[in-house]
Amino acid sequence: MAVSATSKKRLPGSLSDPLWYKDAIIYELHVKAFADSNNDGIGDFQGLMQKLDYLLELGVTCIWLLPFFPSPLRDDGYDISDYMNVHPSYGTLNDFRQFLNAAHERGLQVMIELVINHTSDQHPWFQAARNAPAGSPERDYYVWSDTDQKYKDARIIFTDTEKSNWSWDPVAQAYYWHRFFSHQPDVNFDNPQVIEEVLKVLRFWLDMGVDALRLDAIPYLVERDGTNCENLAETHVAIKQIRAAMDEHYEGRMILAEANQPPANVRAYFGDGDECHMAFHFPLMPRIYMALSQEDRLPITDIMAQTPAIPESCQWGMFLRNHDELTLEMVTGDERDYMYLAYSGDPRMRINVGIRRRLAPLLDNNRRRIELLNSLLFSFPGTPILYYGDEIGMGDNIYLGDRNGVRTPMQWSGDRNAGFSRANPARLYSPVIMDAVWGYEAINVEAQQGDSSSLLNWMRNMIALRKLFQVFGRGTQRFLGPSNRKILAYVREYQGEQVLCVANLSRFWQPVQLDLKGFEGMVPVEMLGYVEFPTIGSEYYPLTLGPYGFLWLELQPGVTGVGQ
Amino acid sequence: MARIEFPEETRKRVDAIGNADFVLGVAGAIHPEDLRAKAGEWVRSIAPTPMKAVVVYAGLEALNGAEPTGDGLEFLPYPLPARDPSVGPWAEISMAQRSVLGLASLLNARCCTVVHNDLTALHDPDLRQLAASALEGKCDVAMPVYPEKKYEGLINKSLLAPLSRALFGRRVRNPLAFDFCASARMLAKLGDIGVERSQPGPLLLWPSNVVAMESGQICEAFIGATHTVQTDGLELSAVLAQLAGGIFQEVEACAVHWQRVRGSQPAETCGPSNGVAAVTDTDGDPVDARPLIDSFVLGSRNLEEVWRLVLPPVSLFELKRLTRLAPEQFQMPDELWARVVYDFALAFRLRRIGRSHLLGALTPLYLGWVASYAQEVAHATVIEADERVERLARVFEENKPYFVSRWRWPDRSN
Repeated sequence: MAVSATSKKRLPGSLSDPLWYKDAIIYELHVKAFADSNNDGIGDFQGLMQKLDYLLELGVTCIWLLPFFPSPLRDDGYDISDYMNVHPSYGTLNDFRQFLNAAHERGLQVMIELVINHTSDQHPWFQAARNAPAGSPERDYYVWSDTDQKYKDARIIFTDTEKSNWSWDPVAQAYYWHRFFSHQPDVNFDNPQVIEEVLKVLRFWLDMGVDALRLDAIPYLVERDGTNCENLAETHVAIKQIRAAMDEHYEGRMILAEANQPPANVRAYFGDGDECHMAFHFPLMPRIYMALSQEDRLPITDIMAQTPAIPESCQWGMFLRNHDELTLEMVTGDERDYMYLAYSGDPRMRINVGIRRRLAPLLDNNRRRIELLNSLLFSFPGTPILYYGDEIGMGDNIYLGDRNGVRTPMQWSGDRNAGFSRANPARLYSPVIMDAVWGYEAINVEAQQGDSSSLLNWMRNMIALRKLFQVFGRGTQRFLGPSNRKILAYVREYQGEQVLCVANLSRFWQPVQLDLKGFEGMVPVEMLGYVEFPTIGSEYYPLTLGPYGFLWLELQPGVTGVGQ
Repeated sequence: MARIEFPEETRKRVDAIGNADFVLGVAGAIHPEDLRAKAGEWVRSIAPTPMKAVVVYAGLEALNGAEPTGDGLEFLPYPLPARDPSVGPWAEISMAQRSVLGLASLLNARCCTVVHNDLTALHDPDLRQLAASALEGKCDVAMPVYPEKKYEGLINKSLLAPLSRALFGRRVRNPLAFDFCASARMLAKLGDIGVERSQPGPLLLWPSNVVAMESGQICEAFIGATHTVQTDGLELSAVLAQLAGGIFQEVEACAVHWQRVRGSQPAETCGPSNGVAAVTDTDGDPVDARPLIDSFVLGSRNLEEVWRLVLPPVSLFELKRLTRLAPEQFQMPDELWARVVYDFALAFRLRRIGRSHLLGALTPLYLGWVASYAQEVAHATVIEADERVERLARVFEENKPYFVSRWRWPDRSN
């Protein structure tokens, strides 16, 4: 018998380990882009269910679903008009329940979006608000003003489309506040009733069994004049309320913060372990690309040095790419200019303050570079988050608008519509990628499953290897400082497990001498092939790495042999 | 931790009994009256001083007069799951063993002795040694060494024991035991059906592997009891599939643990130091290896396509070479056999082909190794045969890095 969330007993999640997210491999996907079961050209939950075994085989442990709620779809679903239902194009609430059960039966967790900063302007709350008199409870669900001069210090995020964070509503005869598109009015977190509504939504999905929630755009919940309206103390109060409600009634669940902020500011979203369990490490991601392009580890070690410690129960979310542009908000002006030059030769590749490209195209489809960056993703402290299609090196389509170029249908096979749908190609929600290099006939799951040297198989092996060692998800990280700055070297440690990771950011062979004091007498064992390297002595430890090569070395105590 | 769920009636009985010092559990169905006669005497024999003991046995029907017998002995029945012929006898025994251990854990027993339901172990004075070791806290699990002739127990000697030893680092002769004793510390672990280790199909219980993963103490005692398992209607390939499949499931479920283990430690011997027959005893006539070799050669013709999906070219090449040898020259190297076992364990995990099909394809290879062994020990004493098995176990250990590397990076290109 299901336990009600209102009873005293806390409703458990699908895993007993409350820190399950530390060992997770998260896979981000859009239902519409993954698999279409009813051949209407749009992916759906029934289609997704058919692909769960694929994800299981890949080694994924948690599926992150981009917004699938009813929505006018003017911002790819982040403009929600009903928080407690499923967009009819993707199926029904019952389909979602079936999917959730099917995922749990396979030991997979499910994370969904809790987009609480704003709604669609079509949401009944907003429609009621604009039609209600000023000062009424209905109107108070959103942030209104008679002038567009309030909160002037708040930056505009979607610089390509928005000129102001205020828009005039002719019905309400007032300006409403929006940090994103003008059709996405921000809700008013100064109104306790709004928090109550958010908690209702949270309980609705957690009662159903959802394991985790990604809190979208949370730095912007509360506005105050004279501030930049980001990361305010009142915003943290709201998040603490959400977390407390979750802890009171549920166990084994997780909240992931989307806060595109410098590390020191993101740190605040962990609170004292009483806000978010996880937060994306946004500033690291562009610097990984920068380090690769410059063949210099400094951008990475520099940002990691600025990364504060986080509470024991918390975790960073690490990623190389996602459904948005490769955001450059968290780098300096010079760094941004450099990144544009290095990674977006064609201006069409740019959007807002970032680059709208997938992983493989960003890396010139260079297999070694792709492997190197994934090796960093899997060995840096945090939980890796993969973006659908990147495991097969899918390409993008820069001729599509907004960020749709990185949201094209998953390429399952060389069949019509890439095996994504049997609909008339003209009916697809987005054209599949068809060019000679990135097209579905060249890059697809089916082909790579049959090729033992494929990127897909490589990813599967790497994920399986990472999952064998808790040190990657839970351990500390200490950088070594060899004189050759093209080499990035660090030691991960957790409960007696010690792993030395060494990466060559250069396109040429590189020698390195590592200072491994403290590890004398230990034997590095290369983890992929289980090959023993020479025992560490008191001298510098010499290694040579090929172009974009990397080594994961498990440091084992020197020897016990057979029968010993 | 996920435990076996017991019916309300059983749980109430557990509550009524409270705690126990010692549990004697029968892993399987037994006639209650047979049990009453033998159990009391045996329990008294291992502990001269009175202690609260509970006899756990399969069957929902309560023992007539199941009240305490006056000397602290209680009887507690547990239900056996409905018989499922597809899972095989070992899975049923393991499930019954877990039930016993689960109940012993609920009773907070200091020690639990699990015996086969033929009760022959209760007639064996050496079993007391096994129980005493755990009861006195000398070890976390006491495992039996059965008196086997050199041609007996070959699936265990050639596969189960060496694979368990290489992976879990403990030199235990019978990792899949019918009779063993466990300390209080291990009861919950051993009775755990392991949600996180859940795999399709039943998991056999490998007590020493579980204890090894918990860094516990293991000892072995030579006992005189022998058992037969009801394998009516089962061909060798089915038996091999159930046992090899069982250990392969364990290997898959515990990959995080065994990849950390290096080398192996001997199990401490408790009781008589050696139950192996006399040095000069050659244990019967030599076995004719020709039919075994014929089966191997036939298998290599019929199953080559399957083997190619499982084994790397170098192993296929060596197997091909073996088929061309005259019977008297036939000798499957231990290293080849060990690697074959490792590659089958890997293919089992990767599901390269259906698991039943895969395990069926192992049979001719196993017979090839048995043929080699039979020829080699034809005139050997039991002790010499024992040493031969020990050499094989060491080869499994030496080749563990091969397995780890292939597990981590499955690639058939060498």
